[in-house]
Amino acid sequence: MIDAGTRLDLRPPAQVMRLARLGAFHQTRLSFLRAMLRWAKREGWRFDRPVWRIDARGVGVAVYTAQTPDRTYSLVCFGHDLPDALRSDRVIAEAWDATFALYDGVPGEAEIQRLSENVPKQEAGRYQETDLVLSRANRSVRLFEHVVASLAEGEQPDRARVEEVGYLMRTTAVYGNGKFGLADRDLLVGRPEFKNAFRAEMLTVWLIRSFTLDLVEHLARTRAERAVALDPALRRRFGVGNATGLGMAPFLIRHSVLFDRWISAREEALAIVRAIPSATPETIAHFRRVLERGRRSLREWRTVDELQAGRIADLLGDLEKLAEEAARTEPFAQAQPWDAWYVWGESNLSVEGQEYLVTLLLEPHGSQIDFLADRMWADELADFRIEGMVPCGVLMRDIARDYDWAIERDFDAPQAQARFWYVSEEKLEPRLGERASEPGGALEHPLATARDVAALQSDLIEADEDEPVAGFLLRHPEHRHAVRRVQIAKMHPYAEIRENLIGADLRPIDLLRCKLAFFGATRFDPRSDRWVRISLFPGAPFPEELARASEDDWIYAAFAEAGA
Amino acid sequence: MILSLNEIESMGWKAARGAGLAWGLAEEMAQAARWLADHGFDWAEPLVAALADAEQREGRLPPPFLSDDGAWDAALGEAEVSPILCGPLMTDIASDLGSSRPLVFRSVAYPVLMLPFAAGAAAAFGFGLALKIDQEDFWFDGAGAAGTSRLAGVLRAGKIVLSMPDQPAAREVPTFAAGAPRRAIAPDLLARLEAWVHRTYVPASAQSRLAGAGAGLTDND
Repeated sequence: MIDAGTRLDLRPPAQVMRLARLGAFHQTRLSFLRAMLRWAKREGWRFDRPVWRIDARGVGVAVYTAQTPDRTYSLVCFGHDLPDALRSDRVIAEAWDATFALYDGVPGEAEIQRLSENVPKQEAGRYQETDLVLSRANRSVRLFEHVVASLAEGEQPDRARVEEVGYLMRTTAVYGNGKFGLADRDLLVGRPEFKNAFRAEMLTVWLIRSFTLDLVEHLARTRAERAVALDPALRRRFGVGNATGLGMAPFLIRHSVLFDRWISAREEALAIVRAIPSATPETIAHFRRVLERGRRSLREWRTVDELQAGRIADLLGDLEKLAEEAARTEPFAQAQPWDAWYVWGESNLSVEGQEYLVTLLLEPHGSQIDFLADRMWADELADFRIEGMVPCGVLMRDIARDYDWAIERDFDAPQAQARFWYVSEEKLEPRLGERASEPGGALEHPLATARDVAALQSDLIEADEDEPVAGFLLRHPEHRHAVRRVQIAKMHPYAEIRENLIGADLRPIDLLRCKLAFFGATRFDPRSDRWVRISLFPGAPFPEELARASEDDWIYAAFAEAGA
Repeated sequence: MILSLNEIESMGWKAARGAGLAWGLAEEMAQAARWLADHGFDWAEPLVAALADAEQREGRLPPPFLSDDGAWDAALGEAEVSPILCGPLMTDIASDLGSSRPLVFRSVAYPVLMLPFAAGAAAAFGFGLALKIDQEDFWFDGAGAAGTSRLAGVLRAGKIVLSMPDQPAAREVPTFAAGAPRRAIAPDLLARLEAWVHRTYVPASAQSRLAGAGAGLTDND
């Protein structure tokens, strides 16, 4: 145990808040989907499937319920018969293989009817406060029919093909927080089970996974009498795919206080583990176990992206080094052994490997750190007010200290402002444009954090040092958003990503990867520098298995172990 | 159309930007609209009126100035000052409040838009603040708000005083609680807001269709 007087050394924001590192984050035991399942297990949630009216083509409605000690939530699923030509993962699609709503309570027939008139239309439908989350998914052409056909033949599907794809359907959007009339987050923060960010969304995706597996078994049964169910161990290997594009990226910049809470929780957890004076035999065994299982599951990580493929190769090399080191007893025998591990990693591993090591170091220490998973929410309004009585000179010194990385940059250089973030008229989605060759630069969104703070600083030089910032802002309202960011960053050290987010060298995929790692995603498969596929929940227990599921390290189960 | 709070905030943010406001002010007007809706006030009519004024000035509203008597007044030659500047200014300088040093604003347009800013200041400091808008009294304690009027249709306040009273005197008056039922927005106001919102969008080009979201690889496999 840690002495209460132990000082915890957090990694400095200058080290953590770089995209090269944030974009190398892996899931941890604090990730939202794992935290959601721990919560559901601890509270003894009960699950049921009261409605299953799906026909032989997969068309119809099904309802899954999750009963918490206080409430019941229902995933209402609509199956559709989508011609192959209409299937697209783009957020701009207008038809899907299946559509879903997470409903507050148990819907009666009238509510199912109302939802059936809206949910299949997704963004074009309207929703109300009883409707918490909206989602849709498409079948994997590579795998879905193969699994149905195999089961209908009385055979298990080809394991290599299942491994290659990893999911039957991939979601292409998961909406919450008031979108299209859905319940606002204000409603959910008063409920402990959903207070933390994205918990309702994680429940939705987890129940969607059950629907996809029930669906293939159902379709096989309706096709042939000799159909068999999936082997339970193989069944577990299926996750839910997800295709995510740029739309997710601005979230981390606009919700900087919340982002600080996510990073802080992870960094505090690492600091707690590093401060532990000695390792027990149990934690050493646990560390070695997840390292070994992680190595095996990483070998199954497939990507078409050359850069990511190279990073995976480096990571596998890193894990070899880690395994060699972990086979010795000395590294665990020193004082503060986990700190020594971390320090060793900094000088021996790639950034991707260092961050994977963070994941491994947290793993055996749930009893000391899991409480942090319930602090990954924020009251963002609490930091919204600008403190206008601060003298301009103080603000300038704050900027010089916290934004040295921004104000040192030369924004007159074309490549420093090569990009701009905007919302497209056609699709109403965030996009990234090239300033030199595309119109619309004047309509850019305020994600140019570094440039805007640099511009603020250069105007502050003209102001009287003692003048309150409020007076300066009456003359310069164009700097208000930058002043707010600077004041937030002063209070929340991990709020700001320390990069030029409009630079020519920005890789937006790093923003997506970071956010998805907090969700608990695995098998990142970048499809370009601004579009990524992932898998959620592969290996996870199903609702009916949750109560009996043992340790929460299912996420490290390698495919090769299925049925073994 | 019945909008969620998030939709009101998002629409307010973009509409304010489309009407010509700086991003920071747009953020503040969005939060103000959200607070008003959440507490059962008519938010759309005063927001549209204030944004229309801002649009006429191409987003460059004349800032108030500090008079010799310590009150904030409309700029010389101006009949009134916009709550778009006055509201944020009030929270910016609220930490300068003293028990015998209130903040005073004169000739403020659409004064209902000042309420969310008083509420924001009270929430930030965690103590009660009183706001007097001409003859109407309001009280904010960080968790809730109370008042004698909803200021519906009031186009201008002669004098607004934010103060730190010793006694929470106005506690018996009706309470405006968060979580007010959602209400429909009038179609004409929605259309005004959406027209401003639309100006913030960038029309598609051949290049942006291909590159903007990074598509190109097959996504149907």
